[in-house]
Amino acid sequence: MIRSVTAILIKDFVSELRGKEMLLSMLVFSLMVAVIFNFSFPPGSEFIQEAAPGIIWMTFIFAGLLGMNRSFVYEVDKGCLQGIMLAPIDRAVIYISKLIVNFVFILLVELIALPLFVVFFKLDILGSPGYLLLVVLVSTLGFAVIGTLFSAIAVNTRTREVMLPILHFPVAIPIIICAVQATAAVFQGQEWAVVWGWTKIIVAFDVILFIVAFLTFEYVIEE
Amino acid sequence: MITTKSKLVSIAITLLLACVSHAQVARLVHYDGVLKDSEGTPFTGNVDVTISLYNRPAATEAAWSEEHRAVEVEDGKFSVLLGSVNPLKLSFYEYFLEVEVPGAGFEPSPKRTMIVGSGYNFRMWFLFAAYTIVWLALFLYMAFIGRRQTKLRSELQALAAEKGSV
Amino acid sequence: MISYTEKESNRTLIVLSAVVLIAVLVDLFLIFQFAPEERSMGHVQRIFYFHVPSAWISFLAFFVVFVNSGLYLWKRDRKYDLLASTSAEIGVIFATLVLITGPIWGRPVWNTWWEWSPRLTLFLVLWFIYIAYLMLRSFVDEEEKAARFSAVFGIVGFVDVPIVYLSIRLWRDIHPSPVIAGGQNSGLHPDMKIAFFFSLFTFTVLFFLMLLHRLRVERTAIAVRELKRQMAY
Repeated sequence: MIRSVTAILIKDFVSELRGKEMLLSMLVFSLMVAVIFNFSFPPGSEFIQEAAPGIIWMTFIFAGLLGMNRSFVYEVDKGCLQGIMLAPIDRAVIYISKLIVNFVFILLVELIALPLFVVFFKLDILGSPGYLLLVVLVSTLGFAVIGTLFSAIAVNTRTREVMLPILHFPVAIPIIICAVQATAAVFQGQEWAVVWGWTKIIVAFDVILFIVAFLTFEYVIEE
Repeated sequence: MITTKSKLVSIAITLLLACVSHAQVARLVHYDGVLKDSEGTPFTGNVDVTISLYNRPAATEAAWSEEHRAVEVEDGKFSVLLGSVNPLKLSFYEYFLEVEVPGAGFEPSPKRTMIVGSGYNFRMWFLFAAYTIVWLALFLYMAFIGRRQTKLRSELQALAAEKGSV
Repeated sequence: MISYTEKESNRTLIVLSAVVLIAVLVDLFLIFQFAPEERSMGHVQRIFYFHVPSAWISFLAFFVVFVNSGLYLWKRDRKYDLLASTSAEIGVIFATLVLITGPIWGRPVWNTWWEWSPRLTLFLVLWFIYIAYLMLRSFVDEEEKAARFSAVFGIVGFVDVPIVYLSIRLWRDIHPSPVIAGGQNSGLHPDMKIAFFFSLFTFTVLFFLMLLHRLRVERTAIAVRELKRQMAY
């Protein structure tokens, strides 16, 4: 099982690194949003610091959806999925490897964009960068967990690009609420207990939704 | 593989149950008050305020109370969040609220106020509107379903007749 | 064969419709005559008797979606998919009613049309989830694929609900605003309880009546499609 996961992973990483479509588009999108949001507040406004957690997470969600939209398009359009499914492997392997790919790419974009947000919005994270990293890790995992499942569904619908956000947003609301609040707690320099109070809900979300997605994925891609 | 899946399912169910039981949290009530001194001029500054809820107007023992320290009063107006200091876990039906400002020489009048809503008469319209909307929506939906059924039925009959003639 | 079952189901529908009609009349009497006036909110509190049952029915409907989605993936019988999809549609209607009557109740009592109270927020999210469910169904061309995808989404969406509620409750605790502190059930007068539970019964029967009607439409539509396919040969 691990060997087949790594095989698909290598295939996905190699093809992505050749084209760099998904990574670049997500990255450029995040940076543009970071700049554009600055213009929606009066110069020197304090309000931007308060709104920063919300802005950061909305950017990451949209960037993540942008990337995840692509994750099954090639597979379906070029018939790769049929090829993978002909191989004698469990369907869950496809889910796990796609999940890892999405998770790693979104995380990469976030780790590049986050320092820029901190600089642009004059935020203070030096007190507890570890907490912030943890929040980013578990939230991104949650996004990828449901995003991978839903992008496999959305790619089969008539309105591919629109369907993914419509499916993704309402289900992702717990992560949106908790990630924004946990990030705000980190920026305000609150103690670990406050941050963890929000983070543990995201962790519960990750575990529960991963199990459900893992079990139902095989029904999505059967042909 | 099957045992892994059933294990995963049981983990999911346990966590879900934990979430449900965790969702019972104490309540918060917003309270706006007015503070004037004995001459009736609005007070401005910071005071400690004690707020208590009583079951009856003359009850001596408070059902619940909490103290807010250094509440900001501006032009006589202040607002506090009941339940933010001492968790408010009462079954809310009817209470008498008393505000005390210890040591500052304020005497609240009237001493206790009943917690009630405001504006009575125009409310009937809201009831009427809600009632109309609910039953109208349900009726329209049923009518819509009925019409589609009749249409489909006649289509089915026409098709069956056509098939029979062929 | 077809005509026989249709006659059978027609009889059930007629009986159920009669029950609903009587129940609605009795329910109206109980709501507007029998139940006492609530002291602090006045007559407007009577919205409660159809606001809260609507909420319960939409939960019931979404639970039916969840169970039948699972059954569909397991058994692959089209009847489960039909039940799930029709139940989702009716659930969305009741959730919409909750979202409409909530503000109408909130305006005179809380003095605001919309309140980010945990329950209203939860219903807004539920509404979005099941609207997405219905959109997903209509945006997939093949019937079998639509059934599979919506079954998966029906399961994921329902499992998500408790977590959504938990996070909204916590979020509300740090962003509070005027709210009537009310476990409505905790302080209910016994007569109010009678009216409420009868209302709940009425809405439940109504839900099943709507479900049966809607299923009948769907079955007729399938029959029409089958006939057309046969005649195309």
